[in-house]
Amino acid sequence: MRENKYDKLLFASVVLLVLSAVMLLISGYNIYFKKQAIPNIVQANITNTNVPKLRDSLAKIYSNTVSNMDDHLNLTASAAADPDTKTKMAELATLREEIVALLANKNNDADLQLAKVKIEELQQKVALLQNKYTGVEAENKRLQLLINQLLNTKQTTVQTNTSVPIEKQKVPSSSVNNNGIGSAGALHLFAVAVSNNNEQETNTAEDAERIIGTFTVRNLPAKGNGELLVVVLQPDGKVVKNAVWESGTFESVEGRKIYSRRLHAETATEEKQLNFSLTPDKFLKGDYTMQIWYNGNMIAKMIKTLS
Amino acid sequence: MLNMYIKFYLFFFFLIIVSLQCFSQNFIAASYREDDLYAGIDVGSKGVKLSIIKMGKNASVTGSFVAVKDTSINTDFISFTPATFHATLYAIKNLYNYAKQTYRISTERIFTVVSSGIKGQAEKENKQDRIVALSDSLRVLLKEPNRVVPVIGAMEEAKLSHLGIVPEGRRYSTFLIDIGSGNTKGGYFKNGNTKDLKLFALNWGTKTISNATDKRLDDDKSITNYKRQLNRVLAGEPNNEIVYAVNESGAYNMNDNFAFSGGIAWAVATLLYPELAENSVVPLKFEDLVALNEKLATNFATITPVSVASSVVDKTVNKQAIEVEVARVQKVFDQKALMAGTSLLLNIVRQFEGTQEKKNFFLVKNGQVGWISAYVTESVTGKL
Repeated sequence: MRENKYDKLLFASVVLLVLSAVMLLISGYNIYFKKQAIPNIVQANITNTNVPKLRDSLAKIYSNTVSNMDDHLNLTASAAADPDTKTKMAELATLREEIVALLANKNNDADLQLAKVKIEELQQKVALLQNKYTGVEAENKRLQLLINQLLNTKQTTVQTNTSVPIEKQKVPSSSVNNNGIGSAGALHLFAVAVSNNNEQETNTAEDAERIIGTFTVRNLPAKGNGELLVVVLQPDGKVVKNAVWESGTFESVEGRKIYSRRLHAETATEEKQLNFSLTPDKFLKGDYTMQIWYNGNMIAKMIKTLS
Repeated sequence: MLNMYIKFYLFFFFLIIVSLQCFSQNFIAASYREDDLYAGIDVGSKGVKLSIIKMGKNASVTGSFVAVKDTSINTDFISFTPATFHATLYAIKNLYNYAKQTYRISTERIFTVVSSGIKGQAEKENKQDRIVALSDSLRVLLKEPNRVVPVIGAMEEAKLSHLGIVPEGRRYSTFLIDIGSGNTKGGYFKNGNTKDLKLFALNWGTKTISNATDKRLDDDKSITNYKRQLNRVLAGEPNNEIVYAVNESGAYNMNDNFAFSGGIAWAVATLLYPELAENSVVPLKFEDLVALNEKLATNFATITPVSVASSVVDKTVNKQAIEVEVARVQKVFDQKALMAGTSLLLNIVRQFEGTQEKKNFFLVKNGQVGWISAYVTESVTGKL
């Protein structure tokens, strides 16, 4: 009888032992397979003193860099329209022209050293652009898919719509360019709960982990440089600030205000959808207000209530 | 038979404890709980500094850590005398006990480091044995024979500061510049990896600029004369050095974001953007900096704690906290020191203010604790 009792104890111990072995294996796996975040840039290895070979080697490195750039730097229309991107793409084009000219000049071997320096500069610039846009674009795509999914759910499900766009009637739509304000529409603000890597809309503050917002703008006047400022207010009136690097202040007709996110849209375009997400430290019960500001004026506003 | 079962059970129990320990080291520590506190004790040239930080959610991604406590004890270890050695040793012990007892931080979460300034001076004076003696004495005093007291080099310190302050999403597009009292240093990761940091250094800081200006004042100690002489100082050697260092760094072409830390960055951020008192990093507009620089010289009397706080229209902002912070700024920097620091900052920022391509400028308020957040992250993930 006593033996039987300790057999159970032994069984429990074995179960715990297996569990600990699994945890040890996971720990080992985690240590062994650490991800390397960013691939190192291929260094141009040109210690070769044989000039024709050196020229060929540089040409090959250049060709690989350009090919890598063409393969991986697929910018979306919005990214390509970004003024910073335009400047950087123009710089890349100039650099490519310079390198091609240097490699083509077979009368001056001294140019090869300069070509090497410029190829390295090109590699760095391409790597930086790739780093910038692969992350940003991937997040934008993910956000867009999620918003589409949330909007579809809203349309197909009969439910009480707690997000009531208010004061939308105040937003001028046709007289945009005359009064220099701009217009925004199709405002949606979602609170999202995450379970098992699956994001779903929630209306309860307790479950909410992120705020996702979307709106469209059109015919933004040039004055304002296409810079849209999103202010999301908590029920206690405080501005929701995402990571500290994302929020700041802006001058408005009501004085200096704090923004939650700064977004950019091309001016004078017909219609453009913009998305954003925020991760507040905590969620409160009550009304969350989303305001869109352009050129110091509020152009749209809506409220989302969390219970 | 019973004895054998007990032995088996104890053995299994031991294995479980070991595995749980490994599991928590790799997963729980890496993901940081909400209430995770860490302490860093940094032995610097001027004294011993304690930084207690709370790691935020996804700290390495968002750059969000909260400086819970930041305090220091002046011990002047760099003079390498027996008295300063003793003072430094007991300052570390006191700060260590403070972190352990007041904040209940476990010993493995208290990091002790000797900074690059000490290392450089010790090498100059051939006093490296003093650093070794300090580490050994500390282990005995704390009764922790396995305590690691690494000596951090200038490059490592700059890298850690960058990793700790700048969030992952901006890591390869941000040039971080720390404007200190005696010099200015910083850098950026130029090759899209964290191995190669392009260092940036100037022999000028807020105090050296201020001292150089003071020397030119002669009998006229007025602010008008100070402003005139300050402009002359900046237009001379500092300007040449700034222009050369900026061009040599290649930073303009390679970065979108330029972040400035150091005491003057904190002071300017507090005076310019009181609404963002809670933010550790605030965006800076070039034109705001120009206006403040002018106001410091011509209208300083209007910059009071009450006037700065009352300029805030947002009713949810704690105005009393703003008044306290502005008063702190004015305690640390008098008018001339503020003018010297702001002018130096303006001269550096001006180098990156493009007409075609707009760069983003940021002021980092808690740069002094930046390295510890990176040190913690790197330590718990086994990268150090």
